[in-house]
Amino acid sequence: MDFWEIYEAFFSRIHAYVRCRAGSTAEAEDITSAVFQKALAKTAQFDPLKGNIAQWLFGIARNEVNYHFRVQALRRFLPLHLFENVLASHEDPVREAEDEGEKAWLVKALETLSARERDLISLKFYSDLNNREIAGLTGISESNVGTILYRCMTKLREEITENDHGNR
Amino acid sequence: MGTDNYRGDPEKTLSDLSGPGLENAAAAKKIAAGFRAVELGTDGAKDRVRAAVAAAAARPHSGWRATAAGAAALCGAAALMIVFFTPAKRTAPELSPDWRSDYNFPSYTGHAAGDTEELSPDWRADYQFPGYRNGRDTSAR
Repeated sequence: MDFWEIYEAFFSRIHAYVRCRAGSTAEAEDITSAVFQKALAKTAQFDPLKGNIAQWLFGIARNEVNYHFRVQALRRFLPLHLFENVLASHEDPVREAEDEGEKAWLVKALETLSARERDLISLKFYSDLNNREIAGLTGISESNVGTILYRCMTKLREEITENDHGNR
Repeated sequence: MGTDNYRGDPEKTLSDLSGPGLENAAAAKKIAAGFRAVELGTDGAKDRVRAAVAAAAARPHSGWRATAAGAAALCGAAALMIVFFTPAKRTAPELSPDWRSDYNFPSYTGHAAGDTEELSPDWRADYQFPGYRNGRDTSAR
């Protein structure tokens, strides 16, 4: 199986999933790049008997996003001036300005959800895995996945209602 | 291989999660539209990420062998430094074969020479064994 075929098929979904979880488009791009670099390095290790490509790729993406959050948390405890150059490289006003319209609305609405809720609802939409597969990927029970997803939709619906009332 | 191999209808999935009713269906539709908008706005990123992945693939990467070799070299250097920079132990001063006669045991020389003239041949009668003379210890009575 050709890696670049997988890339073409899954890039937008993986990037969108990461974008829904990460803080900015620049970070999402860096993380997505890391995801596909890992996938490229481990293409030979993919075993269709253990699950489909979506499960495999979204598993890598979840790990990369979690790793990114861990590094961010670690940076809070370290002297920031040591990382000035690293932090500066993440600032890109042109790319940040790309957020607008529906996209910006959803990203803002997702910020009202907890990290776990955001993870599950993004996985549900982009990976198209069923609740059992998501449960296997995240380590949460299948019934719990269903409950959390229902709660997410309720919260997002409330956000829509508030948003609509605000615009009137 | 197409994307549709793994895709059902996410919009319907969200609609099912929202529950029945027109209002819920409209909300689910709007949420799905938001998710789709995030997914569609990635064209510029796609080329940038592709270039980054291709560049990373072209870069010679160090596998576990290189890492293991580096670690072994570091361990070897550390061992050599320990060997060369550890101060040598001081050697003990030479002792005469009969060193005990000089110190620690002042009476050693006399005893060694059999110098027992200060003791009476029957030295045990004077102390420790008061009843020695008649073979009975009467001191306790």
